[in-house]
Amino acid sequence: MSRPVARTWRGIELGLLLFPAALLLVGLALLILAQGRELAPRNLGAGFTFAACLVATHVWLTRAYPHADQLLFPIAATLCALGQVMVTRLVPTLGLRQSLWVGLGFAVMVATLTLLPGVSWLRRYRYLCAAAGLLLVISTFALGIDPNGSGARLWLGFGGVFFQPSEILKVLLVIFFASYLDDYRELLTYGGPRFGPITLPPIPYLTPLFLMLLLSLLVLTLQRDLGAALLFYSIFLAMLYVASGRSSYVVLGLALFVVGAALTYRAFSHVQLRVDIWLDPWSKAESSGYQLVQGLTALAAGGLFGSGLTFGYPEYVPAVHTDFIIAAIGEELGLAGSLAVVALYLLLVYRGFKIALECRDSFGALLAAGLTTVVGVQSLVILGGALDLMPLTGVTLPLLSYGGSSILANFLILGLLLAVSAETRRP
Amino acid sequence: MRTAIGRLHLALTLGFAIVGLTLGYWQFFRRAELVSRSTNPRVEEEARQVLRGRILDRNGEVLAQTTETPSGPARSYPRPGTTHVTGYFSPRYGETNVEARYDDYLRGARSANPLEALWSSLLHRRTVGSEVILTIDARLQQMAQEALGSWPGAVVALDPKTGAILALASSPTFDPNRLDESWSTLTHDPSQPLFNRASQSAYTPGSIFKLVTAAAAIDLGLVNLDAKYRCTTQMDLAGLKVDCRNHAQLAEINFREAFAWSCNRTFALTGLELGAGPLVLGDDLKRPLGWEANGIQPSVERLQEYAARFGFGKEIPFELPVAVSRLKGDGDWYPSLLGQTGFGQGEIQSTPLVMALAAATIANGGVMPAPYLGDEARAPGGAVSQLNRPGGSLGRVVKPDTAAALNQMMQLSVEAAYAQPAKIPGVKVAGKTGTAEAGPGGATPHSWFVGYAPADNPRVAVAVIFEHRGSGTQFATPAGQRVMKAALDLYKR
Repeated sequence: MSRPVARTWRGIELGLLLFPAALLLVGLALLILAQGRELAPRNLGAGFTFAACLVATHVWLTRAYPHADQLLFPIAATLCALGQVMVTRLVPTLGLRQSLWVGLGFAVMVATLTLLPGVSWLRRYRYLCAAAGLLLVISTFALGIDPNGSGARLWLGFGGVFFQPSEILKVLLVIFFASYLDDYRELLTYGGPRFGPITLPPIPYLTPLFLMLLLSLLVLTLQRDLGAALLFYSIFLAMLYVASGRSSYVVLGLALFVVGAALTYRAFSHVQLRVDIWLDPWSKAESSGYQLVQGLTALAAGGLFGSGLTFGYPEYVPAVHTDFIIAAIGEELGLAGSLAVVALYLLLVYRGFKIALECRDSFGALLAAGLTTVVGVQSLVILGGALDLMPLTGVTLPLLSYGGSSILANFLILGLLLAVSAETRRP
Repeated sequence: MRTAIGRLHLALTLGFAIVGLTLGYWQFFRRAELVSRSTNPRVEEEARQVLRGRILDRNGEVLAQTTETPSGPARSYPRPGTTHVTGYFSPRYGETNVEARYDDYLRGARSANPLEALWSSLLHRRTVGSEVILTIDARLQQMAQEALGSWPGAVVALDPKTGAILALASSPTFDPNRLDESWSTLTHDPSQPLFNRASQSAYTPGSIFKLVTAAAAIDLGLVNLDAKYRCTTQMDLAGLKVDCRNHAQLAEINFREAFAWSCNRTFALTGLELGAGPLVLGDDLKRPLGWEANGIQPSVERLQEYAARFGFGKEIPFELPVAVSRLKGDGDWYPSLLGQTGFGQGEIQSTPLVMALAAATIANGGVMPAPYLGDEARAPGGAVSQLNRPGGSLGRVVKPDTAAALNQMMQLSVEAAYAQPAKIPGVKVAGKTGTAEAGPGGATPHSWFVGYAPADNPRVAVAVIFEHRGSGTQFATPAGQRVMKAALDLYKR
């Protein structure tokens, strides 16, 4: 085996970072020109600051973790740059806030890498992670607010800044799952009680795991945060599969999902409504299906190359700067733009799984695979919902949508992925 | 573990592939359908971005224009008398008539200079629509609208040689400048003011249809126009009692006079006998008549053929929506129905447009002119698209000799008989009146007139109808005379 050669600089990353820097600068310049404002450097402050942050983060990574994956950060930065352009275009007053969140996101990523005394340190604090995450989410029952009028009190607020605890919970839960599943990996692979062809997991050993999962699902269902519930269940199933390698668990899990989904459908009228809209949005185009119909219409209006920034009418789509940002991208940048976004997520997911595959330590691999699944599945859940492929549940499109908690949580994920990668490749 | 991670990666990749394909499905394959749905607000938004082209009459008079207001561009109609031609353009209620027919030119989607239009759209310049110039004369249109007054009815005036429509009036009318305030009143009004009666309403034509029956008989060589016959006795034609009271003062007449004095008996017989050889029309008829011996089918076929040539049974190609004129409803022919149809009663229905074209056909030597409203579209850069070719034809209807004979008969009608109110001093006028029984028994008949002038060199052909107003001579004919005289005054040069 050839030992990784020591590198002192990250050339690929620096080269690729030119792209997000240019994307935001050109995008903001286009917005200024389209609005007929003066194209002066002082109007492009957010763009220059972003470029400076990119360079600073890059320099810090070069010094501290020269061997960590070089593609992850540029891919994420490109999505962030596009997100800032779109948010600025859609809700100009939120553009600067989004840039601020992205900057804070970089800081969170750097802090994660700096403060974490090694990835394996995390496995020791799995119950603390789980408890802290759950506590945060449960606290929204008492303290939760609904700043956007979405009908669900999913946010905690302090001094005009709102935070969505389920965003952080998903990261903490992945840490917990990875740690727990890694400990019981052999048991899982061996399997528990058998009923003919079906092998059940060794349930008694996994009680804390199931308890944790059920508690999370219960809390989220009660809070009507269906998107997050779906996401958590997918993560659990994916990580169980990765840890055990048994596809029978996946079949079993999907069967349970069908039962659970059927029960939720029966129990909650808002779930029924979501499913009805999914099956036929057109007949409800003026009522409950309005958002989806307008989203699809915006996408269709964009065609292959889009109307051009500011020349479309995405503002007819409710929540277009958060959940439905893909509709705005599709309308103004066309199929070319929306497919580019899909390609970026594909690349991000590819790099994430590559990090997991390269990791020699099973906990790190599980952690990386789980975190990557979070980003991938969350993108698929909202994209699929906005494209009428599945019932619509409100989650953000990672790194693109407006939203501070989402940006910070995703940079926390990036930081952890880079940490796994850095440990793996350390010469 | 590595296999599982690989498979998980594959699953997510497949998910993104499906998302990518679905994006293509919505953004490419379903694009046209979704964009044209009423749920797409962009249609209206984009319409607001366009500086819609003006509509002008043949003299450059503005009929419709778009002006900038603080609340966005607004369409206004300085001459509400042309409402039924221009139609309206409304973000809320859509567009009708010329606004609808030439919408692609007016909103700049179609232009005489496509390169320039493409360049403008690439640069996101504001689209400026083309101006559409119509064949309408706003003054004549106003005159026609005034001639109708508030009585429900319609006037069509056209140049019989070119087919250019000079006026197309319908009453009652509405003010397209106040559509938003009056919409619910307009749509609930039983007199249907939004409806363009000139091309969209079909009425019983009554005696003006004798033009078609006569044209068939003359064109087929069935009738000696000058042979005198005695016509005084009421006849029972298979249960249809028809008399000669329209010319009670003339016991002996020829076919010309029977036309001029609108003899129902003569025309019922003409209709029934179209398939039976030379027409015999006098009181001394020996039974059985031709149709009684041989059936009515040959006559039906001949009348249908000529009616079809005059535009019955099909949509007249025209820029505004048209109703189809029909000889008969859905039932079968029977003798008394054919007899009634011969003088324009029975189940026959005809639009004012088709009757104006019938008059124009005679004026034009037997060839039906293709009617048109749009003259040209002028792009903002000055490039011009011709919208219609003047002098287009919808086909030869009757031989020139037949048209000449009918011309004489229509002149006789104006000079000596029922159409006398159509006389214009110093001008030969051709015309035919109609008093059409329609609606429940005892209802006041429709008052009709068709004609053209000058008869020796026709410049204008008209059709006029007043719904349920009375005799053709008393109401429609003077109105037709006013319109024709106004047209001749405007175009005497």
